Amino acid sequence: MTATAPRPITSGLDPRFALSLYAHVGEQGSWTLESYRARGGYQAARRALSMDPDRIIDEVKASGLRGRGGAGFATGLKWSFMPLKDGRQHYLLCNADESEPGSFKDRYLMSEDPHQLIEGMLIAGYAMRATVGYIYIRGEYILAAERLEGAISEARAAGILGSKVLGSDFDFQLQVHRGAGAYICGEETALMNSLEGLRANPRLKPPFPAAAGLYGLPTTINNVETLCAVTHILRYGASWHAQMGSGKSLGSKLYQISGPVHRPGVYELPMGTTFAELIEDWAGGPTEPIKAIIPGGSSCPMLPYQQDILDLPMDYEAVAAKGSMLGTGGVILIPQNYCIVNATWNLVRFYAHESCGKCTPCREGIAGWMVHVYEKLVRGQGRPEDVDLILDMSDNIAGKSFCALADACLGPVQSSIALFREEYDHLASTGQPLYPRQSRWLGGGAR
Amino acid sequence: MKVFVDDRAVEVPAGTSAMDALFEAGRDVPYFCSLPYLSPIGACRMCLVEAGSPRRGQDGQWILDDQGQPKIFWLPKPMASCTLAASEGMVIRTQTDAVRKAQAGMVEFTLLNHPLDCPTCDKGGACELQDRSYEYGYGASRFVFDRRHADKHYPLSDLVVLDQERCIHCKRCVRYFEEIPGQEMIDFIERGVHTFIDGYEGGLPSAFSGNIVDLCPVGALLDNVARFRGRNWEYDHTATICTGCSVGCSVTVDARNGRVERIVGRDHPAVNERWICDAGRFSHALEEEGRLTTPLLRRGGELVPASFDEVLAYLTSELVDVPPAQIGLYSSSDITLEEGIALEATAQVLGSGHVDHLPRFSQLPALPRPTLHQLAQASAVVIAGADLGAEAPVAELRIQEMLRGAAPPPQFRHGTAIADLKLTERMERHPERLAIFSSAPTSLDRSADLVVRGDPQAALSAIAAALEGNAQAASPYLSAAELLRRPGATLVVGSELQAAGGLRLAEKVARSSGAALLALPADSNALGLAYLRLVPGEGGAAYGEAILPVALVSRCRRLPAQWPRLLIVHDTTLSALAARADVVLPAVSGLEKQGTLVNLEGRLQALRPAASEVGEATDLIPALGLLLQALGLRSPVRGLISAQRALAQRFGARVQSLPPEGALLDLGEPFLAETHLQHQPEVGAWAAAHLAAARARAAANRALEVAK
Ligand SMILES: Cc1cc2nc3c(=O)[nH]c(=O)nc-3n(C[C@H](O)[C@H](O)[C@H](O)COP(=O)(O)O)c2cc1C
Ligand code: SF4
Ligand code: SF4
Ligand code: FES
Repeated sequence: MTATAPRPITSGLDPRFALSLYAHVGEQGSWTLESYRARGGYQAARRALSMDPDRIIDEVKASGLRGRGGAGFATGLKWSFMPLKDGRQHYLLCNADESEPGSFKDRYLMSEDPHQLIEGMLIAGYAMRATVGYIYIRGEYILAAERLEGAISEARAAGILGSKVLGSDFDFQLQVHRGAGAYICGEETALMNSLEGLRANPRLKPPFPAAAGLYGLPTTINNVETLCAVTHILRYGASWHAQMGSGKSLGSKLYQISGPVHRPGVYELPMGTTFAELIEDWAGGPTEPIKAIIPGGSSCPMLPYQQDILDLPMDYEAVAAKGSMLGTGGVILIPQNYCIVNATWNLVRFYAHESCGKCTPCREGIAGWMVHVYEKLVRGQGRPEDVDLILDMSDNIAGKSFCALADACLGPVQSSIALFREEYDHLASTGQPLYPRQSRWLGGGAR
Repeated sequence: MKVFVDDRAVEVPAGTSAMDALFEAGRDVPYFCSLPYLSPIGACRMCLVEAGSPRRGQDGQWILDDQGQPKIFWLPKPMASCTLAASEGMVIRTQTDAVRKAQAGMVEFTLLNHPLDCPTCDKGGACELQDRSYEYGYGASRFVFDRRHADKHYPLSDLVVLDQERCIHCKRCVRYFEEIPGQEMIDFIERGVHTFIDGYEGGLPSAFSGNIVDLCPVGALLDNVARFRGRNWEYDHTATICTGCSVGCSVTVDARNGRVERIVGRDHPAVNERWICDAGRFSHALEEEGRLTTPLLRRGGELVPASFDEVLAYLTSELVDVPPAQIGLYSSSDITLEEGIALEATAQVLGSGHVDHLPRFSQLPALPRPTLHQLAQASAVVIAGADLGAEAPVAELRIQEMLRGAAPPPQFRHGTAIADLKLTERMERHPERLAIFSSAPTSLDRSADLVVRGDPQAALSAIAAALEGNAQAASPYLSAAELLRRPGATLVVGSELQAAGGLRLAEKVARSSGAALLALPADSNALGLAYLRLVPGEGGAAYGEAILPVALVSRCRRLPAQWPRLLIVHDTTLSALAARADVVLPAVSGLEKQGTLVNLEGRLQALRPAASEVGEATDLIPALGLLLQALGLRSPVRGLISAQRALAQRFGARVQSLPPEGALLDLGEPFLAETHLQHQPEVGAWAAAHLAAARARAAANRALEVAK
């Protein structure tokens, strides 16, 4: 680096920015080993295998990579929690359960470019002395699972997985495990239970996975995108990664956008890109007036669709400062003329359906009660006091559940009432939504 | 370490949960999922508190606030106190508005889907949900929707019935099976608000299934034998000891209108923790079946009811020419020390050596016995010729505890730790710490890495040889010898070995390996009675060994080889033996007695009589008195008080005033004699018979319910 550090890359329009994670998504045959090798695949792994494992962890730390599973925890730091020389079996888990409404980035990483995940896991496994890895993939991701399986067997045949990986002394076994359709299996400890064949209930922390994870042994779990990013960090270097992004949110990130925009989808952009750029420049702008934006997947509190929010850089701190979260970067736009109570009910139904049932506030509060109050409201049978009831109930749940699922449900609930109280009150007192339901598919909407 | 709870400061050991710290401080939080001896899981979210801790700076010193006090860093969310580790200087708040609201809100949630069954629910009046709702709830519900409906009469087994609607998902029952007996039997099915408890076909194949009834905080799991037999406030509760076997578990016996309806486990941290076996729990059904309530006298070849006066008159005339020294006195080994010392005194007054108790020890190793607590913490256990499931079931649970490395939980002023953070779900078990040598399968086989079928005495000889260095390489005996050599190992020997006279050998193995030796007594007081002179004296005959003119036999179900000319039987029912007696005296059962028993550790524990209607039945002391009266003799031990006085003289004053947890006393030298009668416990058969009777009662209950 020169004495005057170059300005960080914080826009996908910056000519210095180049795609890495999604560079080959959509290319014919991009999922094959042949294609992957042709574009320099497994060079990063070769480089890593020649390094001291601790240096890899240092490099990941230096890259500023933060977990892409939602919480944004520093990846290198997390890896350094592993007891490095204890002689026990270590596990590396890839969290590919991607089930949060609004999040759909990992899916294409796996179906279109599975080898970069395998390579990332090899590097991570080597760094953490984990010789066994599992990819826990959402059950509905059939194509992605098949492509992964195919890629794993190609890699095995080519000596990239199994014993003596790429001619080194490192052994690495990798397996795909398909989930059976529960969102809670994305919670890291519930995932471990599920992988062990137990009920998918989250486990008590501490002990944290690095101390006692899968089968009670040291385990690290990372999101698909996190592990794919590792491949590129080892290939292009920590400083290449760190030049993208703003503040403490560095690197290239997969943002997803859904809702009424011209081109919904996944966009790879440097961290710190603004919401406005994603929505306008990449997704082609909204197709109808928007009133709210969910910045990072359904559990992140809604923000008003207004200029100061649109100008925010999409990084962890900036979004948190506005009272929401960047989450997985799954941006959802909610149209102006869609009833917010109905929209929120849709999300509450999801969380109610997905509650694992372990703890009282989530099982009874959300799955047993709140979802019914919403239904009552949306069906026009509500009473004015129901809105305060929802708020009070939320207060009795907030921060009191065993895992984050219940709080995730409260994200849209509390924020939608805070922003659109008049819609709730109107529906609760008149039985009529301010924005009546209309078919969005048959020309009824503003399409 | 010092922890501050509201305005109070307490000192608690490191590793204490915030929950136990606050109870230690005399505060209270509601809880449903935590339970002593089970792993804390933080599921019910009732026990929320606010908590914060001081932190140390880079220099290792406390970070101070403006007033120069250690600054408290408050945790951002209310914390479940059961899963929060207390730390030095932690501040816990249980009384703030936020805490109160959180608890009330959680009560409201818990009650949402709970049916309004209280008026017809067997748990009513003893229900944790009722109590906590009253203490911590809002008193009203804002829930206006239909409650969840599920199966309300779901028999998990013949003995345990589940009401799925009442379940509050505390998971105690699921954790219990996995953690305590180590037999996974039930689990939650479905998820979210549809989550319910279910088992698999085949009932609850565990010898410890009834404990889930005691631990269910609500009326979801109920004792099918006691179903609808009474409300909790109608029962007379008697805290006593189970006399089913030599473990001597603490129980509470609940009777209503003079009938025992149920037995529930009672916490004794050193003995049974809070668990009892099904045979003991459901023993009352059989114990109350076919009871004799008056004496019977043989008249014209038939046994007919008679008064004690008539019996006395009969015996007085029949015994005129009988030399007292020729009268035999025999009893089972479940009589109390009081009855035992009365028996001893009676034999002395008669001058008779024809006295015995059975089944009993013929040898007793002169080694200190391990306590159950020590067994639960043993480094390794080798079992030779014992089936704990049949001989001392709850000792099996203590061995399971040792296999999990779940050291007994700490004790506090409020009792056993409610949330012992050392315990976790699915703790690793260590089957390599257990070896079993027996000729027949035993209940613990499933938990041991080393199980050898064959003659246990031969096995012990081989182990003894291995200990002397004479073993071939890598034999199971060598492995067992190595286990026994571990500091803190225990050798457990039971009926099969003792019947073959193998106790000397066991003693030798224990001495040469340094292991502790636990020789299982064959009955609930077989160990205590060994310290009274209740074995055949000079020229005396053991039970059935000689044809005696008269014998009094108490609670003994075995038929003698030689029958006395006049047989007096003291028993609870008309047993096969009693049916051939000339005089039958009605006896009280173990549930109805007062007195003292000595369990397998050597712990003296007090029996108290349950409030059941027993007619003219008595314990052995009045029966002996009647015999002496007929002979015109008088014993120094004529009742409970004189018996206790005699015991106090013999064993020290503490026998009369035992603390609630009993006392481990040195009872001196045992009185031993060889016996031709097999040292054979009847617990296995006892359990089968008792459970069958309990099932019949449960079926009758069920029939009543269907008829309604
Ligand atoms: C209810 C719930 C669902 C979750 N689902 C996912 C998921 O589908 N994929 C994911 O990567 N992380 C998910 N997480 C986050 C994981 O628990 C975990 O933080 C993450 O996998 C860590 O990976 P990272 O450090 O690479 O971000 C979920 C968390 C919760 C509480
Ligand atoms: S908040 Fe509780 S019930 Fe909901 S998913 Fe987490 S542990 Fe399960
Ligand atoms: S049945 Fe009882 S003990 Fe079991 S989970 Fe339900 S409430 Fe708890
Ligand atoms: S969460 Fe149930 S007792 Fe603490």
